[in-house]
Amino acid sequence: MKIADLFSFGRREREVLDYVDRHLELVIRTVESFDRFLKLVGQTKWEDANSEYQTIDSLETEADNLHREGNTKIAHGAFFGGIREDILNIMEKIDSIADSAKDSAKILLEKRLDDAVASALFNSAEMTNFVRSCMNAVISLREVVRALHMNRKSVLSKVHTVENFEEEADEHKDAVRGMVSSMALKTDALSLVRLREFTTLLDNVADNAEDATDVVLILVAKGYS
Amino acid sequence: MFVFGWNNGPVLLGNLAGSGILSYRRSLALVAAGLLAGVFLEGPKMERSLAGGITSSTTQTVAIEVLILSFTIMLLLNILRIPVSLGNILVGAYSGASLAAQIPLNSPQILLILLSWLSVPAFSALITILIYRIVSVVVPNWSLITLDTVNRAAVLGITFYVAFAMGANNLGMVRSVLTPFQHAGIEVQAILFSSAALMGMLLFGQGISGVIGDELLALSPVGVLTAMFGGASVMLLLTQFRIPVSITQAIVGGMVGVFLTRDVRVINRRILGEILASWILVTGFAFVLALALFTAF
Repeated sequence: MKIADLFSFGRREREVLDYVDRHLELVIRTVESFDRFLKLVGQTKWEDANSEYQTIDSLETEADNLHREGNTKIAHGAFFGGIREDILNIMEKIDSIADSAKDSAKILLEKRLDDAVASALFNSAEMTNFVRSCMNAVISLREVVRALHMNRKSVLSKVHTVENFEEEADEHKDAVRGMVSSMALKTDALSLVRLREFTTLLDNVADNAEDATDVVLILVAKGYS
Repeated sequence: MFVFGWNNGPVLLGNLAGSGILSYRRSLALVAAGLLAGVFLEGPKMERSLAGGITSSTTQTVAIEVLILSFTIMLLLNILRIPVSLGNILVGAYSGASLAAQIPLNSPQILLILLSWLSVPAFSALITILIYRIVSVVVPNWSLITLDTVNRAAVLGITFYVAFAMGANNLGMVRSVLTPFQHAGIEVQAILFSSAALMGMLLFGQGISGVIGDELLALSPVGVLTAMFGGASVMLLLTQFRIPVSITQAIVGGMVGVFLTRDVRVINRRILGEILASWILVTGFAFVLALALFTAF
């Protein structure tokens, strides 16, 4: 570290938090694209869904690159030791959100579902609610990260919102799984297995958002106590 | 001074190293500046802490024996990775050697030192609790970036402050032992002491701080920095009264103070017991050994 860096008065730290914010922005765009993808699957527009998947893929790659840049920035000495590891961890969890969105989309394209099943499942209220809860968890995470620019109270008040959406997502996941099980007679075993795997991966979107807030909580507990 | 640096280096360098703010080389430069400033500006106040304090005068033989004995004890305890106070050893060894040399001991001064040692951790804890209470009200209103910036500045400032207090008290106290050899001026002695201490830190000073910082209590950077500030303040205060103080005792007292303010308390009682026992045993051991050796030879 250069002597001048000691007197940067938080410039580098602000830059790192900006990276986290931009990273999260990209991840949110990835999840929004994923939402559009699922709607296309529900409409059984497989070609369009495939092209939307390309968008998800490129956004996820962009998020990966930003993640790497942010890590490098932190590795050059931004933030106090201890906090640094937590910020890296938060970025890792945020990156996993995009990964989960991409992987769950991929799984639907690897083996095309029966049109009737796809239409019934992806137009259902259960699925819509599930996806909405996962997206809300990620959007709320951005508020948590932005609250790091404010104070401890603001961070803590926003953390619970993410937790609530994650719990909501868990409940909707069970409903979707119930629906998948009820389709046993309408589709083949491989599709059923893949649909269950899809719900797990989709749930990881909300889980990773919650995991990121857990790291924020650790960071707050360590830094402010 | 070399083993002193070895023993205390981690207390001074541990936070800087852990925070990753400065390289080891720059951390050493900051500590050197603090030690030199302390020994120059406040060190002369400790010149009459042992010779002129515990005894009215001393001899070259006593001084040499005290230094050799202190060096040996500190070396052994450093190898065993036990944090120990140079002040405790020097006072114990100096009293034992002086008694054996039939130099009258100033009992009220010894009593004052012993009482202050007993009260240093408690006093340090009290000061730290007061500071920490104030800090705990202010810090939650800060953003993460503000908190980080303040922590960063505080680590630098407090490391310098602790080094300053140690230079004033501990290095000043060593000058007191060397009273019979006061041929060199304070400038030469200060540079020699600080250089030797820095060599100790540079070569071996990366092991013992872990015992205090990592294994004794689980504290946040704010907690550790407050404890260090409180401990160093007590040390500087007692320097004004020519009382040798152990920075370890003062900082551990401060850390326990922070610990007492928290709802969730994590403390390693075994390590705390070992540290407390070492303070008493080491002083007694140094006293008895110096008395026995001086009487025998």
